[in-house]
Amino acid sequence: MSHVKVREGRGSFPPSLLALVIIPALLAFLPAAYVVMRGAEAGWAGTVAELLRPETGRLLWNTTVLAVSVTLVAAALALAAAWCTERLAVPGRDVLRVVASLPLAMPAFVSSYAWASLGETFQGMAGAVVILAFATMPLIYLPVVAALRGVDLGFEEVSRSLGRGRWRTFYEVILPQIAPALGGGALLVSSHMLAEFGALSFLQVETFTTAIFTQYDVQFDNAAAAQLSAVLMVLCVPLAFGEMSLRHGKRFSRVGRGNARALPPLDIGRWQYAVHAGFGLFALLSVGVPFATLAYWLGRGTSLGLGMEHVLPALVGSLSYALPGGLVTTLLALPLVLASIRLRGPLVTFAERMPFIIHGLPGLVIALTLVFFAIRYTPWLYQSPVLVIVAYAMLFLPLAQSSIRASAELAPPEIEDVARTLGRKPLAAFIAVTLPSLMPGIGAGLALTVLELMRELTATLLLAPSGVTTLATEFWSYTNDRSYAAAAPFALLLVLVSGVPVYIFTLRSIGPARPPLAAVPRAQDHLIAGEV
Amino acid sequence: MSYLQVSGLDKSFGTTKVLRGIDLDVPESRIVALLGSSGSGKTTLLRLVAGFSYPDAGRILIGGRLVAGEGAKVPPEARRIGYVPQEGALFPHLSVAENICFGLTRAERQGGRLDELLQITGLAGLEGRYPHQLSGGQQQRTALARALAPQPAIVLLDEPFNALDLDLRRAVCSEVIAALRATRTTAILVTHDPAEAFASADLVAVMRQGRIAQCAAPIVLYHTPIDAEAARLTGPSILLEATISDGMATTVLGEIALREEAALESGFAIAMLRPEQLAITRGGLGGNEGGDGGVLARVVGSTFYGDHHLVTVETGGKRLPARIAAGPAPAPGATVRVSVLGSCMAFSR
Repeated sequence: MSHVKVREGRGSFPPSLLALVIIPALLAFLPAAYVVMRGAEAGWAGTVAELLRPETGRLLWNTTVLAVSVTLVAAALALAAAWCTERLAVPGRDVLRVVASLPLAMPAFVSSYAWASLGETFQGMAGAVVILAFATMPLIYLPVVAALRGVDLGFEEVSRSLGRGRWRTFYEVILPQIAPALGGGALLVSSHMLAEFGALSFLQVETFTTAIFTQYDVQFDNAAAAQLSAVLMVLCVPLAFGEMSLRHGKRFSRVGRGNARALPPLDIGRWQYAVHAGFGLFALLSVGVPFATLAYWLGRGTSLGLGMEHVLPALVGSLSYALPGGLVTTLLALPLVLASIRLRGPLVTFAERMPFIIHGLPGLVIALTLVFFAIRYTPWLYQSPVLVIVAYAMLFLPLAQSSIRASAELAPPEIEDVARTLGRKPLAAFIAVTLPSLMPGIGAGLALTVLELMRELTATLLLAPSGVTTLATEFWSYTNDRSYAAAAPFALLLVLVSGVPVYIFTLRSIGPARPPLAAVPRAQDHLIAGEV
Repeated sequence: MSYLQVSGLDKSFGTTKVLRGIDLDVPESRIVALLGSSGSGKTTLLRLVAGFSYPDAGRILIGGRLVAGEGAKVPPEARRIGYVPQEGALFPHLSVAENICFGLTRAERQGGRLDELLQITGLAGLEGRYPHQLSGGQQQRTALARALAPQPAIVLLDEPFNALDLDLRRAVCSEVIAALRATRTTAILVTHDPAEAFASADLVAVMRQGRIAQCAAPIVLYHTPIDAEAARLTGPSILLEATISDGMATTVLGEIALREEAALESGFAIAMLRPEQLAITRGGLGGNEGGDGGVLARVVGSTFYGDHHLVTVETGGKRLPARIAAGPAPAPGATVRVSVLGSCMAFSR
């Protein structure tokens, strides 16, 4: 007798919208097509020779050292911080949680700008590792905190009752349970390091990404840029796949519904002062010094007479790209999410996950890809805003997907069935009952994407029509010219733009014993952003 | 006249046949329960009746109107169906009153329909609440009121009480059934709980492997299931090897009268009893088999369930469960006399 549940996918999905679901997945193949086609144009012998140059080896070494070091330092910091804020009886843990998440509000390229402006001591590989590890630490800290809270007290009690000590319990029982969160965060940090451009160019560290930009800058539609992109993609894609499978796997497994029983925090006596000192030092280095420096340069800039008149066009430029970009991205994400919930099957799963892979590719590679295809096949698109919007959608689709998904999973497809039996036609049923329950997710996704796009640098830099400036591009070009004072107002605005989503999505959801906001995406879901 | 007529219904998902030749008639103003384990196809049948998907073969008539099969493809919104899914699926952004009025036209909302439904379902005073402010039972009653509002031809309930605790489940079930009876509504209730099916329905259809194995009134189904599997699906049962002759079954419990529904010729068969048909009396020494209408057996275990004991006795190498309604239960190891109350059902082997 068969107990296998055989069921069709729940809820209806109009077949006419399937094209919309497939397009983003097909776009995912463009970067691969670009490096292959450009390589063929340049000739395979030349390509191989280029890749075997000692220069490529140096870039590989730099990139690897940076990615591995930053990831290890950030993971160690995050694990320690999460342990302190979740398991130790330290006064003011709520404040400490905020401190540990603060770097999210300080984009890596702004803190790099601040440190770089203090002098060459802080530039170079060593400085970059410390600065970037501090900046990316919350990407690991927040998922680990969520995982630690999900570990049921029962596991620890059972382990202790079976004779394991506190440390063995941690290694054998707790760590395996938070490992997916830790691993997912670490992969995210690594892939951000491969894609990082702005911060590294300020800190004078050469990786594949900065080298690709240099090549592009030297010679437009450069073959070497495509060849280096190929190597970078080989590094990025496995990371993106790993991150994606952890995200879709059992990363946030929690036993049973509702909250796990709260663990009694561990009393550490006077050591609590050491914990406070550690968090204080972290706040000082990750946010304090950059803010102070920023304030200093702002003062200098005002005294130099640099005013809002050169900031306003950039702000308008940012908004005029980020708003339509966010709208298009959100509208593309909606059918993708609905299809993945309502239709099952390998094709839809593939289409839904592919954007996460593209998101793992550097914005620079996406931009080069679009330049390549535009100038060859659609010259009328080149230097048009459309191309910028396409790049934005490719890069940030997962952001909108995660937000909408959080709402869509709460709205059972049965409510549309019920609306049908009560006399509504399919579209009317969707509008009357499903759309209202999706609105929080759509709104959050839109807001998040717009704010994220306002700080996007590399794709904008390569694709925006000449003469168009945004906050990020102006900030980058002033800093690159060592005009630190002129860059300051842009840096301040970028910090503000970053701070809003951090406040809305992160700090509110890591508060003490408060039920997670149902309609708002989990903090970890929006952390896939943050690459500039 | 049957109000819902389903005949020859087939449905496959991919290569898996989920429904095979389903025939089902639901008389007007009656409640029919579809009873089956998960994967038996009962929810699929319900969804075909609702119009959420269409059959591969066969036809469905509601109130004499062809809605599926023979070229007809009436969509759910045109079938006059009331649907109460698992967990209610209330529209989360609408209040109780707005949920209930969802299927009513503007003109219909003006009349006293809402108040009437709130009365029938016992929701008066809650009309301004939102779904998340309701208890599980209130949510289910709201879902029913919403389904009843447009005066549907038939109401379909898909395991509507699954999400509720056992206590609440019985209470909400009887309230919902009472509301359906009060409005003389024709309904199909999908469930895997035999007690729920028996307590609610006029007719119970046992489904398995995409077929309706038996469709009968609850008492008939309970005492005369058509085979051993139907017996197990409809409650605890005792199955004994038996030899049939002259309307009697000879088993380890002695000779048991055969129900006339068990139309069996003489020969080997399986006899079926329900646990409450075994009576246990203290067995005296020197009791002889067959005397006093029973056999001697040894008690091997006893479990106390509050309102009854379940005593396991062993006789002739066979272990049998017996329900003892009240009083002290015999201790394990004791010898008792087991006799059979009433007659048994039997199936050919």
